[in-house]
Amino acid sequence: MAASITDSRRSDRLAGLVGLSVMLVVLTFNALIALVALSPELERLRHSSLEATQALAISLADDVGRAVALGIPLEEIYQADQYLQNTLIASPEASAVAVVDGNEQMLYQAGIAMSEASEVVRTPILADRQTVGAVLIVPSHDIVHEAMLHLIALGLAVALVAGCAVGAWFRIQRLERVDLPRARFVAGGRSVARGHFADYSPPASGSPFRPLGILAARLTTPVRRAHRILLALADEVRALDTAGAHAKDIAQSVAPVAPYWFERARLSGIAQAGGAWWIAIAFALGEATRGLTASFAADRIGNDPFATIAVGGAVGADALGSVLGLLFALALKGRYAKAAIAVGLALAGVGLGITIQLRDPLTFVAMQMLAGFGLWLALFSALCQRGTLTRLPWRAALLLLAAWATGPVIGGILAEAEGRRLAYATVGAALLAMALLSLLVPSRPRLSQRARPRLELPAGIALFAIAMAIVTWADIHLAVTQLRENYAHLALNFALIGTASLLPFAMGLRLPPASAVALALAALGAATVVSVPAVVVSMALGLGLGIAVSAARAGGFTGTGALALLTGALAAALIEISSYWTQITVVPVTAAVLVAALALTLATGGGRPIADRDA
Amino acid sequence: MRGISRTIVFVIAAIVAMVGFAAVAARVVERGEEALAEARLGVVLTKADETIERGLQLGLPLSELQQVEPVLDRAIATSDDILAVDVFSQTGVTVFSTDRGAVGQPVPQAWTNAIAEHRNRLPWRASERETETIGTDATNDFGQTEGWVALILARDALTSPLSRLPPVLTKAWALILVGAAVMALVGTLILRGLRRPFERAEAALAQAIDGDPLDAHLKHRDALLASIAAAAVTTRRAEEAVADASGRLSRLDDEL
Repeated sequence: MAASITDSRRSDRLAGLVGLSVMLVVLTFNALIALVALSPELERLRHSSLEATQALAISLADDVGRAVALGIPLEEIYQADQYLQNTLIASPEASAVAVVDGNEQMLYQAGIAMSEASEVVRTPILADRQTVGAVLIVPSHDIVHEAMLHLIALGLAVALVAGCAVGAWFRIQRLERVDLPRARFVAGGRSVARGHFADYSPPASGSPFRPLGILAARLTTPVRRAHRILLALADEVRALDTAGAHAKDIAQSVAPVAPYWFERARLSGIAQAGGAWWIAIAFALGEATRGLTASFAADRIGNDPFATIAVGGAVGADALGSVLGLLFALALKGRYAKAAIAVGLALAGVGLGITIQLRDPLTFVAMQMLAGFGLWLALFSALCQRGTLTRLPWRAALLLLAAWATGPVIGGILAEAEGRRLAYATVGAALLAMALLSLLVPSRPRLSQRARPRLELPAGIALFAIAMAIVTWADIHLAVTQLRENYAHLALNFALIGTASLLPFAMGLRLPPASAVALALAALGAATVVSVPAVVVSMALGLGLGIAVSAARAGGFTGTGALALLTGALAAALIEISSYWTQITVVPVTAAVLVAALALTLATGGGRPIADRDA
Repeated sequence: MRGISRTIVFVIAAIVAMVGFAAVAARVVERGEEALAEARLGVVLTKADETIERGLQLGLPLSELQQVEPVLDRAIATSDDILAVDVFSQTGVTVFSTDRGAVGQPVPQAWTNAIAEHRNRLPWRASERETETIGTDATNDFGQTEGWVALILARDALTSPLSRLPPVLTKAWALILVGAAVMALVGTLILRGLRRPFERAEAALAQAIDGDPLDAHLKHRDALLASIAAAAVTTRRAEEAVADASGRLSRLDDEL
């Protein structure tokens, strides 16, 4: 069986090998770093844990000692057991608390049996400078154990992100630099085999196909030159044959070359399109605060149940503003793009940057809407103007997905390093700077929008919206509940979601779109019903979204696709808001929608592999 | 050259991942230390707060709770990290303090900002140049906040973000370098074989240019080689056809 013209399976295997190698190397060295550099830190933590337990013991001994000093016998302190139980509940650093008298007789105890403890912190109870007994505390070291588990999960997750990211990058490189040029080269070779001797220019310098292209040119150049000489000779003979008596002979002479064509090649417009890189950077910056929005909104309200409205409102306002910005940009069809980009980026910069001063939830919601509007207006104005949206939809989709994935990682790192408000201000300032820079970029002619990639099925739109709704739900609950104020971990999980969403593109996974829904459903169940680490859930959610986007292929980030994604985000925000009145958590609602979407997908052919549907 | 640049990408990715792991791991440890320090100081803070709240529950105004001062003095004695303990009213004026000179003075702006930011019933935390302050609210029987209790701590009493990263990196840098070298080696080994299909195709094309027939490659599994062979065969035929046509035209030219 002949290999495919792209030999993309080989590239898939290579990308897998590269990703796996990076993952293994990083995992091995992370383990070594943990052993060598982090063990002393954990020992310090253990020491701090003992100090905290000691402080608790001193405080308890002080309370009990004062009671005894007031004349209450140590063995008759009212509700002392209950007091110890309450202390234990409020102190996670202790797993058992006990009070013994001067004869080491156990008087009161809460928690595990002292006999089971391998380590006990002991503080004497002093009453009028006399030792009347002792407080015993068994340290739980829960925080140390939790830190160790976090480190193990972290080492795995970082290795996974590094492996997936490098594997995906390598696969995209292979696609752009090897697979597609190879397909073009093979097609060119087959064209020559059919007798079409076009003027194939060698690939650009730096391409692995350039030496091959130069050799191919050397193969065909002699015959092309000989053909040009032949044409000149034929013209010369025709000029001599003034009476036209030998016209038939001339035609017969050149007849053997009739099956061959020596036309000039047409110039391709593909290389002229593009220019999505800088807008991808702006998009990544705009998306940087995505992981911070929900927790910032929640903190404007506190622990009040009303916080769900603030959280849903902020996330929903961002999505709604984005929808409006997208529709406005699509309505402009690339006209006034320079102004739209500058204004859009400036609005996004102001909306996010001003957050440093915001205290009130309503203003924050309004600013989120402004930022969403500005960012998506700028993004789609740039894409419509350059024609990237329709001429290079794959590249645009990949770039934007990568920017969407990278943004929250930048935001998480900024929040961890300089705090959440300053992170907003930094991102806002960077967007304002990009707005100014966009004015310096020379205007380019608007490219016509001929091709119109679209979603194939209504199920595709449903899949998009559902997958995004679930990811938004995960965004909210990671930021507000699971990893509140833990920005580094938040960034890591966003990196996992984003990287996993790129994998179906990069690895050419030809999975039926229904599997996206099934995977998302499994992730949702795993997150809420069974206690599965956030790392695994994030990977599954990202893969689900990636499969859904990949299933729509070129349509992934076109107007309709983007609209579907934003609608999904909006739906998740509305469900979050409605939970204030319905008291129904997002889980059963989303699960019901997922089942409906699965049925819809299967009913409309989404359960079959993509290749079958193409056929 | 391209292979080297790709290997560098692998190496940079590995270094970023390892340094990133070290940084986030340092934050994990720091968060653990913060939680333990807050638990340790929380015991002191809660005890002072409970005493004040018991007084408020008796219906006394905050400014008249004279038993507060010895409580604050006991609190400051529990840890060297505590520089001062203050109780201040809702109007932001210090009512009691272990630093007697602070009584009657307004509290720093950073504290009021932190109070505005904090979540209900949870301690708030404010950072200033030389001190860290953690505080909690003192509420009456009706759940209304009457004032605040604040522990003023030395700056290094609570771990500041990324303060543990330098010592972690100091111990890990050699491993990171070795990891980068291993990644470079693995990358080079993987990428070394990537030129082979091109080399095979280039050799076949060179053969074709030298006039060797490539018929054996026509049914090759590799579509690239097969297309080169087919192109070479057609090119030969085209050359023959052009030469034939040129010969006929030359003869006609001579005749004319």
